[in-house]
Amino acid sequence: MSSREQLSDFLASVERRAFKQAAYAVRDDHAALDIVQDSMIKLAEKYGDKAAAEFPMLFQRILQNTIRDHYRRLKVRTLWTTLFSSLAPRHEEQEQDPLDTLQDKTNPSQPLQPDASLEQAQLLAALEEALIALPTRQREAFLLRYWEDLNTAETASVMGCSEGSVKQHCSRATHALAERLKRKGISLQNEE
Amino acid sequence: MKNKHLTNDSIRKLLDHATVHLDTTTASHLRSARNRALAYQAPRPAWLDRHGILVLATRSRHGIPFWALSILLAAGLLLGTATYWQHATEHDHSDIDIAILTDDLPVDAYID
Amino acid sequence: MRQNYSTLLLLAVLGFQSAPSAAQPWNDIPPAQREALAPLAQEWNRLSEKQQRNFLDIAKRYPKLTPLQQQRMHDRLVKWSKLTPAQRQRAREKYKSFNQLPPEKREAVRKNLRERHTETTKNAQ
Repeated sequence: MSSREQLSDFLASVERRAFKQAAYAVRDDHAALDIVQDSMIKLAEKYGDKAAAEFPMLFQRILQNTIRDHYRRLKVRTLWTTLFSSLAPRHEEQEQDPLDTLQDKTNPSQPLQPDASLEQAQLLAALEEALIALPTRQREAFLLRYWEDLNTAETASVMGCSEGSVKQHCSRATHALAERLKRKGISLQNEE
Repeated sequence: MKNKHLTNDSIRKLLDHATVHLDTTTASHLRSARNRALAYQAPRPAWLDRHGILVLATRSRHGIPFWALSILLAAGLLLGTATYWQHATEHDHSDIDIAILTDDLPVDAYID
Repeated sequence: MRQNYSTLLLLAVLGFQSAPSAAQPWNDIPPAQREALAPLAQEWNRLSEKQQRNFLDIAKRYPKLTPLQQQRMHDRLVKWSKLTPAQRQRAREKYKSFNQLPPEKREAVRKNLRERHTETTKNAQ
């Protein structure tokens, strides 16, 4: 069983990455924060009594599921919005069609860090843009493997798919990233 | 941009850098979220820390001989009852403490 | 089968446990309880786990007190926390026995103690 301090330490260690993961996925900082908050609560409530060693994987699974829930809710909302917007006359003040936001690939969710060197900032911006542009499953697999450091089996468990699928998603992700970055003069070397 | 090179390792470093330098508002929102979440964690008996083996006994899928479990169980029952009574009597104090702290007589009246 | 039985019993034993866990840093206490225990902010991290638990239990009742009671509690919290456990225990026993006195005697003692206390503070000035 884990103490409050152990859970607190774990959450503190993972919260920023979790936020970025969610932000890359949903492209909305506000929603990303909500997603992280929900995920933390679910972990504490349902699995707060587990051993601390189990937290990383449990949390990743919860996080990815919560992100997926967000998409589903967004799609339902979008469906109703587009149904009604096709009936009602269009006004200036009317909310932008959510479908447009989903397809927007030009703006990274995070502004350039002011204190980073310019080169590093440009690299980061390019990388984030490329990550955001990835299809969901590819980005999930890539970040879980290479940022959260889960092995193939663990990633498969979190994503709810086979290890073979994980490898496929990862290699496609790497390929897609490499393509995008190449257009900006950045080469990507896959060390696997 | 001149030709730049990224590896999986440098990608991770870049992403980590981004999280370290997350803006302060977001960072503080995350901290609040963390604290709010902690309130949802179920309370845990403190003595279990010192008797992790008891946890192992219940969770282990390997066969633990019955005699070993019985001893652990007896120990657990003893400790459980002791802790129960300790906490049960502890609870009484808050009634009296509140009375002393809010009575019209000062605390001094009850101190020797 | 036997293992399941003993596991069940063990879980039943664990079910008795309802005490909260380890020492809590001040900032992790819920705001409502922090307000109740505000005078203890500086001392808090120096208090033992048990004392913290006791104070948190007290804090839960704070909202139901009248403003006057709340004020008195705030005035007395620090002093109470600085007593030794033995002193606190004796204080509780005194309070208990005091309340077992018949009402007239209680009122007489109250009057007496109040006068003595006022005198002490007057003399101390």
